[in-house]
Formats: sequence, C-alpha cells, structure tokens
Amino acid sequence: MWSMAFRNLYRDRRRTLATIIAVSAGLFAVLMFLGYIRFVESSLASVVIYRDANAHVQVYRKDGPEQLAASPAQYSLDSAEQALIHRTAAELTHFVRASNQLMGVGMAQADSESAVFLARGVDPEFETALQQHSPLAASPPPRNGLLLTTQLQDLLGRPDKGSYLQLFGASYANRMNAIEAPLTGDFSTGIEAIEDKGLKAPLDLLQSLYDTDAVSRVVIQLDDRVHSGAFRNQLAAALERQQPGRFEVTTWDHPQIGQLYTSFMGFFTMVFAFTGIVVFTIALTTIQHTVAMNVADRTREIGILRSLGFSRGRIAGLFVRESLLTTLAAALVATALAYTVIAALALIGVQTQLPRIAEPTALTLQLPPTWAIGAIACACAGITLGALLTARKRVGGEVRPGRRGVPLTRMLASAACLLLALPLTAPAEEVPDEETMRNWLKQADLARGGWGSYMWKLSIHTEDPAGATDTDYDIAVRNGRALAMTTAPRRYRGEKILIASRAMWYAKPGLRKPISISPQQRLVGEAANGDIAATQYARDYTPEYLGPVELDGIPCHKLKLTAATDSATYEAIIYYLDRRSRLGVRAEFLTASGMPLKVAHFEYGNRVQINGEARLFVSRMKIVNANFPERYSLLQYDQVIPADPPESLFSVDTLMTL
Amino acid sequence: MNLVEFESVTKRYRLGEVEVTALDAVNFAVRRGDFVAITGPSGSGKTTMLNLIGCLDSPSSGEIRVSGRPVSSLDDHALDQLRSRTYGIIFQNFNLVPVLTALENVMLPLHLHKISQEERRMRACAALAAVGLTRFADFRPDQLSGGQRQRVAVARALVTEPKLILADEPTASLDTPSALSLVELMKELNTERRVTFVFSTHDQRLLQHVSRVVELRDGKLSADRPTAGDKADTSVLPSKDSEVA
Repeated sequence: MWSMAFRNLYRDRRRTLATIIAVSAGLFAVLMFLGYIRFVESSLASVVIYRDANAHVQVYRKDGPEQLAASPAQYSLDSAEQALIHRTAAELTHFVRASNQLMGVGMAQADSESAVFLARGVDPEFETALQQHSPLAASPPPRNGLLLTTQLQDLLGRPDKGSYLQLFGASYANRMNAIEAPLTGDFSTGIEAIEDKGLKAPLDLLQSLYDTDAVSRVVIQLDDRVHSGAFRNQLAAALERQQPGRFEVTTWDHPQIGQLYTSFMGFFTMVFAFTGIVVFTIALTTIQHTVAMNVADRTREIGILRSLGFSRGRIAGLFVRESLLTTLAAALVATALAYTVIAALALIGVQTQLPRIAEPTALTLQLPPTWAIGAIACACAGITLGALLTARKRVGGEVRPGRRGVPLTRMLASAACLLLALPLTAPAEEVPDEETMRNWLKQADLARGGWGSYMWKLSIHTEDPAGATDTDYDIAVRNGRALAMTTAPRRYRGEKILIASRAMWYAKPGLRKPISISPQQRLVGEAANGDIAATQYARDYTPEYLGPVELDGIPCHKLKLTAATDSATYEAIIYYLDRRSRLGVRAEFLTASGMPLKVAHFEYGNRVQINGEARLFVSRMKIVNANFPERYSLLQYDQVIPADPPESLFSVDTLMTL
Repeated sequence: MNLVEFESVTKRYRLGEVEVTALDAVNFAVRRGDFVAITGPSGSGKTTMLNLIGCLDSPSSGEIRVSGRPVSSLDDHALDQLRSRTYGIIFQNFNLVPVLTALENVMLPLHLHKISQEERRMRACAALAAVGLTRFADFRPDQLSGGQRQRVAVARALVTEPKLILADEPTASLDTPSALSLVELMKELNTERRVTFVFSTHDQRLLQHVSRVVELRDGKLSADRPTAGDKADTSVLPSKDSEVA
C-alpha cells in the first residue's frame, strides 16, 4: 500500500508539488520561528544567569524573593547562614562556585544631579569567573569603585570617570546613610526596563551603605543550567534538614528572579503557539483539500477497491499514506531550507536587537535536530489525523443532508432601563473655607514645632521584625527650618539632617559635602525623615473638609490634605483635628494611589510658653506602618523650650562644619 | 444450497424528483458452477442486479441471501469480508489501478488476506499464468492492450479463488478476437475449476457459450432459461411477476 501511495503522488505532479510547496513553506516558517525562539530563550537565560549575575541557583531566607525589597533587613542572610549555605552547596555535584550578593536601592548623586539606583553588590572575582561562561559580551566587574549604566550616568550629568559619587540609602537599621565611591566604569544590566537605574558595586562597599554584614542571597554557579532544578531540590532538602523552614532555594528561572525570562518566554511561547496553530491550520487545510481532490478524482478506483473487499478505513489509509508522504517530503524541504538559512545567517553575522536587551546580539538561530524532528513529528501527526478524517468522510461517499442551521442565539428585544433621578438634598452643613482650615492647620503645626523657634530632644524607638533601634536627636527649629543632630548611638553621632525651605540635606563625618534628600527619600524609615522635625502642613498641603467625625470619643474635623508642592513628604494625608483644641490627633499618610502608608497618633503632654501663653506641645508621636502593624516608631519629645537658634545653624554651607 | 438468492428484491433510485425502479420484485438464484448471463436492453437493470449480487449496493426491499445468510444482517466489516472472500469482480472498463503493474494489480486483493508477501506474489503469478500473461507481469495497464487488461482483470478476480465471479459487460470494450479469447478463458475456468460466473452482457459472442440466460426487461425478470451448453441446475425461485422459461 505504501508503494501504491508513493506512486499515486506522481499521478498529478502539479498538485503534489503545490501541496509540498505550501506545506514546506509553513513548516519552514515554524522551524525558523522555533530556532528564533530558542535563540531568544538562550539569550534571555544568559542575561539572567550571567549578565545579571543570578547564576543558576539562589538561596534566600524563606520568602526572601518576594519580601526582600520591602524588608531587606528581615529577609537577609546573616554570616552564619551564609557559611552554612556555602558549605552545603559545595558538597553537591555540579557545584562550581558560590558567592554572596546584596541588592539595594537608593539615590545616587553627582554634583547637583541625583537619580534612583538599583544596586547589586557582588564579588568581583566571582563575577569575572561567571561571565566567562556567558555567550553574551561580558562586562567588567566592579573593582575599587562603582559601575553605572550609561543611562544612569546620563541622568547624573555624565560624571567623569574617577569622580566621586554619593550613594544615599536607608540602612538595615532603617536609618539614613550615605557613602562616597569613585565611578570606575560602565556596564549594562541587559534589561531595558532597569537600564537607567543599574549600579554595580563591590559587595563590601554596598554593605557599608546599608550598614550590614548580611547579604540578600547566595548565588551558585553550576556546570550546566540543565542541572538547575535537580540541584535546587537537593540543596533545599539538605538545608531543610539542617535548619527547617529557614531558607528558600530558587533557580534562575524563578518568576521573581528571571522575570525578564519568564515574561518574555511566556509571550514568545504564546506567539509561537498562535503562529504554529495558524500555520498548522493552513497546512492541514491544504492537505485536506488535496485529499478531497484526490478522492474526487479517483472515485472509480475507490469503487474498485471497495468491490475487491477493501474497507473504507483501508482505502482512507491509502490517502492518509499519500498525505503523510507529501508532508514528509515537505518536511525534508523545509528542514533543508531552514538549516541552510541558519547557516547563512551565521556566516553573514547578522545582528539583532532583542526585546529589552540593551545592546545588539549576534543572531544565531538554534534548531537542534531533536527539536526539528519533534516539530515535524507533531506536524505529521496532526496532518495525518486531519487527512484521515477527511479521507474517511470522503471515501465513505455518503452524502448526508446538511443540518438545517439552527441559530445559536436569538436576538432578544431590547429592554428599556428607567433611571430615576433622586435629587438627594442632604441637609446643608457648614463647611469651613480654606482660609479657616489653613488657620486650623497652622495651629496644629505650632504644637508640633512647625512654626516659631524651639529646641527639644527627640528620641525615636523603632520596632521592626529585623530588630529594634533607638536614636536620639537634638532638634533646633526656626521659622519652619529645622536641624536634627544625632546624639546617640555613639557610632551615628555627628549625623545631621537639615530641613530648610522645603529642601532637605543629610551630612555625616566622612562625606565631602552634604547630600540633598529628595521628597521620596524623606519616606525612609518607619518614622520618615520628614516627620522628625518641622512639619508645616499649613504651607505644604491644600486642605479639603471631609466632615465632622468622632475619634476615640473626641469630636474631630476630618480633613484631606493634598500635597501642594513637590517637596511635601507625603502625597496626601487624612488629618483629624480635635474640634476644641485644633490639635492634630491622628494622621493617615497616603501614597500617590491613595493607599494608606502609615498612621500617626499624637499626644500633647508638653507645654511651652509662646507669647506669654502656655501652649500644648507634642510629647509623643507613634507612627505605625499601615500594612505591617508590627513595624512602628515611637517619637518622644522632651525638654521642649522656646529658643532662638542662630541663622547659621540652618545653612547648608555650614552643615559640614557644625 | 444456492450461492446467491434474491427474494422479491426491489431497488429504487431517486433521480431528482423522480423515483426510478431499477429492479422490481425479482426472484433469482445462482448455484455453484453456474455460467449465467444476465441480458436485456440498456436500462433494464443488469448492472443494478450485479451490484446487488456483489453486495455493492443494498436493495430497497426484499431479501438477498449469500450462502444462506441474509446480507441485510451483515455489518460493513462483514460485507467487506464477504466481498473479499466470496466474489471476484470484472468490470467493463477493466478498472485496473493505473499506477500498479499487472502483477501488483493481481496481488491487490490478496492484501486483504493474511498471507505473506511471497505467497501473494506466487498466487498472483499463477493467476497471471492462468490467463496467459506471465511475461506481461511487470507491465503497467497503459502498456497493455484492451484484451490483456481484461485478462489481468480476470486474473485479479481469480486470484482469491472466489466462489463467484461477477462480470459487468466483460467483452464490451474488446475486439472480437480478444472477446472470444476471454470467453474461452472464462468458460474454461468454469468447466475446469468450477468457478461460478454471473455476468451482464448483450454480446452474442458470449451468449453462445453460456449455460443459462437471465433476461431482464424494465427491471423485471422476463426470462430465466438454460441454453444448449447448460451444465448447471436451472432452478429458479418462483415469482409471480417473472416469466420463467
């Protein structure tokens, strides 16, 4: 029967040729696309594994991949854990090397320009060794300084190589901190989305910024990425035996790590599936039409075979064999053409720009024979099935009366919707005008040191799952400007925060000059830097009256304050003012999207003499994280006295010399 | 036992809005060893009757029995089996598969029999030898004359050693020498191997050699008579509409 099927292909050579051309064109497209996807997959994997220095396997604290960005201190690995991971991983097969890494965010500053950075602290030696296996161009490791992406350098005004940059960030103790380091070179993250934020630093340098010896993770290089999954399982089991529930072991294609890879491969797989289905449908339709035409042309022969006792299935099998042979011929043509084109592209050295990969990459389509055979086998199987169904139906020769089309849906008569306008006239309530509200706010600000001149001592106790911290400040305030000088702990003594004319500056011994703090950076810590001193809501926000409410039995005015300037610490605040005292009782700090960020409660146990009048002054302020109530800061205001600090105290020019 | 029996078999076709009765309540039987010619004018129902005998079509009413088994009780698979084991069929236009050689055409029905390829080849060669075409085994149909093609068709019909060979106007496309040669071959097979032949024809060259003639007229059996060379039984099932000679 095979011989007969093969010979039948020669009966109508044009038809057979046309079918082969159509099917081979489709299969060629599929094979080329498959090769391209494999190339993209390989390139993206290289970016994730090598360029982005994720290596093959990563070990985090439990839930680290998800929580590190929000709570770096809580989800980092301490020295003992790092040692345990290194020791355990080294005992497993396929292990090549391991290294510690620290990730963090902050602001980089060069002269007057500043920009957000996403930093990775790496071991330069490990980075060098890892990059040797990358098919992509390797970037130099950070040695004795910082590597910045060219886009980040542009944002910073293209600082000269060798010039010192200031990095500013929140330490693991939720304190502001800054370091200076020279710019030694540039690199590419390989990921377009973060290319303008990329910063690479030696691990110890980044650890000094975040004031920690912890690391975000330990990364492990293997001898081949195919072992990643098995190694992960073995390592996870070994670590679980030693410290149950402590660690999370991931591979490079984990959604949180290989986000670029998983998102793009998901997209490409979908596109490939869609393209494959379209091509397959076209090929199948072509084959089915060919089968139908062949059957129509050979009804007499089918009759002969039926008269000889051949069943419908056997006769259909003949046509299926013909389809399969046609498909195989087309597959041969398509495969030969595909490999020729792949070789030609490699020879020419075509470069391509891969999605979200910064620099052009040499286009090397990857079509392993097993993949090509697999794709062809799938196509053959599908086409054979389609041809079988068509052939069986056609060979049967039964013309059944077509079913009368029954409409699947019937249009329903449109229904009229009656809208009743209900003019709701709520009983009118007296709404204070803006000036009145601003006066209320100014009174409330006064009781928190926002206006006038004072000095006091501030103690901040912060509770965080990573640990508790205590810091003391001396605060001086003069007409809306404030200076906070750290007095304890001893190692932070000398740090200063200056708030002057809506600008904020940070200085500490060792820095060459003060660092300007952006509005976003003022949010650092549970007690935001902007909360430490000099709150002037009357000046920085526009009030809106939301109505009277009762809060813990206290009748209050509820106001919504919307940031009126870019320098305001928060985008919006829901502020509750005591109706009688006009003092702020509670403040809900909101994000730009209106989500609660923190909630502050105020107590007024201090009294100060202002213009000969004893006035209440804030004594305690508790700021609680709205999403993690176990994280809070308690601000204690003591020794509040009216004072007349000198103007020079509030000048950025003299900040370093104080 | 009769090889094939028709009991009041009627076959109607619908041609557009018109219903045509191709066979009308025909009673008929074929016994082993018969050499029967079905004759009649064009459109009298000869081919329809052959198709019904060969189970290539089903009656509109009445019953057909093959070796005593009602055909209506057989499913598709059983019918395929029946056709492959019981019948050999010869067509007016030879109907050989054009892409196969004479030998392969003859081997074709043997694909339905569970025998080795070698045995298929041997049996096909023997069949070709029986029709005198051994040296044309590797010829394709388009390389053979009309007579040779029909002999290949006979060989193909013979190769499964069927109980009954049906032939639809087997000599219509042949010249006189070829036709006579074919008739002699068929007669010889009937005589020597006791192969039963039922064929439709109005070829007098063939009718002179048959042992029994069944005549159809407007779908009805108008005559069923033995001829001079009759060697078979001439029993005919009684029919109220048929004229029995």
